[in-house]
Amino acid sequence: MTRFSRSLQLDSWLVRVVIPLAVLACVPFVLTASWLLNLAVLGLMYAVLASSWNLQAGYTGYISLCHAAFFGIGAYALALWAGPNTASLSGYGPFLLTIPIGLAVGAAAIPIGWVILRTRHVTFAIVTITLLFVVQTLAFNLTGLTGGSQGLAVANPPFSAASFEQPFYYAMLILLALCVVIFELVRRSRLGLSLTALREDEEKARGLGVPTQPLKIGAFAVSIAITAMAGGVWAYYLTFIMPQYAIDPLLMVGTALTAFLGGKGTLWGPAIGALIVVPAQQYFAFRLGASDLYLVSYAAIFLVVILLLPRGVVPSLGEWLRRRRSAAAVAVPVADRAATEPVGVTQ
Amino acid sequence: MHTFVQALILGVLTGGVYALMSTGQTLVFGVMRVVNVAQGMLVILSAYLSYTVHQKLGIDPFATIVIVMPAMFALGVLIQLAFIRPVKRNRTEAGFEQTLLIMFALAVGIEGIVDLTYTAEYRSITTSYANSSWTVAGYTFSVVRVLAFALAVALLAALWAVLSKTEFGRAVRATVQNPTSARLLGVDTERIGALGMGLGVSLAGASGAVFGLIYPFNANSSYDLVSRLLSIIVLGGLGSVIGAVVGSLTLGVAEAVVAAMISPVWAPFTFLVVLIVVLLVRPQGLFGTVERGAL
Amino acid sequence: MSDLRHLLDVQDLNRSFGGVQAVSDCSIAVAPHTITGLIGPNGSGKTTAFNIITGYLAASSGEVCFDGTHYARPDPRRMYKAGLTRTFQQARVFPELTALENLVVAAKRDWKALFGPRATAADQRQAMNMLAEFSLSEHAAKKAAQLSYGQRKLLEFAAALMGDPKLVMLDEPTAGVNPVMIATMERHIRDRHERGVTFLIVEHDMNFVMRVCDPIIVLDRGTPIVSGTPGEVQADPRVLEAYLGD
Repeated sequence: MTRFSRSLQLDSWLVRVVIPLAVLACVPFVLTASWLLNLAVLGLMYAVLASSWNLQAGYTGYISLCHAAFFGIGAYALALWAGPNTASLSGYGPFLLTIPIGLAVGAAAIPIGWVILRTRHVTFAIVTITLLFVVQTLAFNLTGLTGGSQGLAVANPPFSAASFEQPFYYAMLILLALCVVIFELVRRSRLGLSLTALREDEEKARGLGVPTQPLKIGAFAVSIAITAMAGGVWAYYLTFIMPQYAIDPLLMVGTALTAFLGGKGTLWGPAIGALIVVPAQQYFAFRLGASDLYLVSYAAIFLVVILLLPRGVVPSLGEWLRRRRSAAAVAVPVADRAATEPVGVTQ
Repeated sequence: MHTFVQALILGVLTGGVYALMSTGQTLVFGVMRVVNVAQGMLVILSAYLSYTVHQKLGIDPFATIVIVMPAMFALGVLIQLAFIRPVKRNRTEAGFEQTLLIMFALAVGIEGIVDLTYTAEYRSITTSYANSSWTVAGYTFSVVRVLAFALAVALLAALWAVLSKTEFGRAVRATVQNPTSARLLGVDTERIGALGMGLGVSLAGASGAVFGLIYPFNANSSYDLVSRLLSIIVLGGLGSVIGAVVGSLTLGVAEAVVAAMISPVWAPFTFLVVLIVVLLVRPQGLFGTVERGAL
Repeated sequence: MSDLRHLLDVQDLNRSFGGVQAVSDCSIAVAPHTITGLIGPNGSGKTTAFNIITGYLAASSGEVCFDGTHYARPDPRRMYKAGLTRTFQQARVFPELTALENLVVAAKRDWKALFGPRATAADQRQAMNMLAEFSLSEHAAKKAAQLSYGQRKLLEFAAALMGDPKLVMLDEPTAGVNPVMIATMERHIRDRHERGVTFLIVEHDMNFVMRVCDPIIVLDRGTPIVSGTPGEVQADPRVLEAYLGD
């Protein structure tokens, strides 16, 4: 058995994927209070958003700030398709609708990705920001379609008040499972190897035959598709959507924060980030009301986190544990590596 | 034809104001490789500051620049010192993403502060001449816009003089071209970064006063603005001051012409169309350089 | 007109950077089964030419012809598939991947393999063989970031060979390494050369170049000035002038 396959044994599907998901599936039976379960749904939603965002940002290293736009598109798509009347299939129809919505939005993301992923990281980020704001403006302006600033009503979920949140919790959990499974599948395949190489040194990867463009576009499309599905579920949960909340820069900041905080590029990092961010968010909203003081403190927290924990909780924790276990230093720090490079090497 | 030329005039005048905002932004990128997505919000903040000074002291909005610009310069330096410098010092590869998100968060934070202080009510800086215009050869020139354009020209000319004639300007240009080489040549790139940021934000400060005169604004107005500014600097080429000016004029004219000849409803999407075309045809922008392997 | 006897035929490359002409009417030809050297003083355009040929930089004019195919605008991936790879001066490897994985990712596989395992048994075998050839076997499971500079240079060289290239372009393979490593590099280059690989090497180490390369092309200010055997190049006064003059 080579060292390579031995390391895979330690992180098996059971430990990495099945058990955590099983634990999460038990939550609705523990947190039975409605407000707690609501918090859990929200927390899971952020976990989904951050995890699907992570599929692109973590694997390709390209920071997209337009995901919130596609979240909104998914929300509006569901609102329009499911209609404002009673939900079909005893309330489960809209959940199923998110599947074709996800597929359609994902397919639409391919040509979009083809255009915008021709650029380097910085320009890409800029273009995605622009896309976010344009889509928001469209949502406000295309009143015939979206109802403009009046908003749009979504089908009414017929679930009982006692267990209203449960179906939504499980819907979000399924989406999270999707993210996690995809992440693992990719990690264990040559796809993961190629994507990591792409992220580390895109040019070099290209020069060694890695198909960088299709990989970037693929990651973007998958990530967007799942985000759109989450938007659909959210629309159904809220039963009424408005442009400034469906396509919300704050949500985008929150998504990125969650992923960063937990650890971009790790399997459960984004979900763990959500575990921290959402309760904190709710606490601030509760204490400071829906006023802009909440906005300010949110931004302040974000800034503090980004400055203090640049790599996020999971990687920092992992490294701390590793350092405690091994006697001698294992990794050559980046600074040392730079020192061993010869003088006079031009960049 | 008359409509077209009128739109052209309007476009150029508007482009001048955009130029003031976007040069600041592209300068910040060039000097520190930071995408200042907060530039739009900083313009709005300056608009509010100008509004307040105008209200309290009764001086002409254009004169408020004397107070607002230095204040914004200080803010820019402060932001760089407090948020950007620590991140850049760490020199992790996540540096670019961090600064982008930091500026995004700052924009959100400033929006919150502004909304708290001034409420969501739309404000407008009004003067006696706010609605008057001159008529030359049958074409109308709004007084405010002409003055704004003149201000933009004056400030950009001053900027050009600083960049090309002073030692500071040379240091800035060296840092923009190649930070490593600049450092090797003895340029204190950290200080240049802070000063460059201050400069970029002070230009936003100048344009804020002008913006407030032309458009009614509230805390939400930054989103529209940010999209435009970002498209301009992508069109012009990240880091290129000339590019920002040319891009601003181009987009200003394009938007005005579309509004006049096709429909005002579609005008805001002109910049998106232009952006897509740029990405397809020349991703590095008009004056941008394709940096090998660099961000 | 491109010469069919040449593996790599570059015609009239031109490229400037903000007013500085990096390469100017630069034509380089590399015959198959040679170890061709590319030398010249600093700023003579060697790395620029490298970057253009391998597709990392666009030329303003000129053409690259590799193995009989013309490329108006080379692209690193297309060149890789055609059998051309390169190394970098700074020894670029993928730091977070293990040494083994650095090689596995460089192997020529079709797109369907992307959905297969991260490293198949065949991949591992091929990579381990390559690591053994370069005496890096013990580092197989180590992250490339943990390797020394010299080891990373070897790893990068090994990765460039994984796809069975026809031409390997080495950018200063001996820069920053000790004499023992230089000898090792030389040994590997000669060994692979005997097995059919053509090399184009940019170098500053004159001893190395004169010893290993034949023919040698000399660039000065973006243009080739001399091309010939080591003896011819050493005897040509223009070469000395290029290095000492100006």
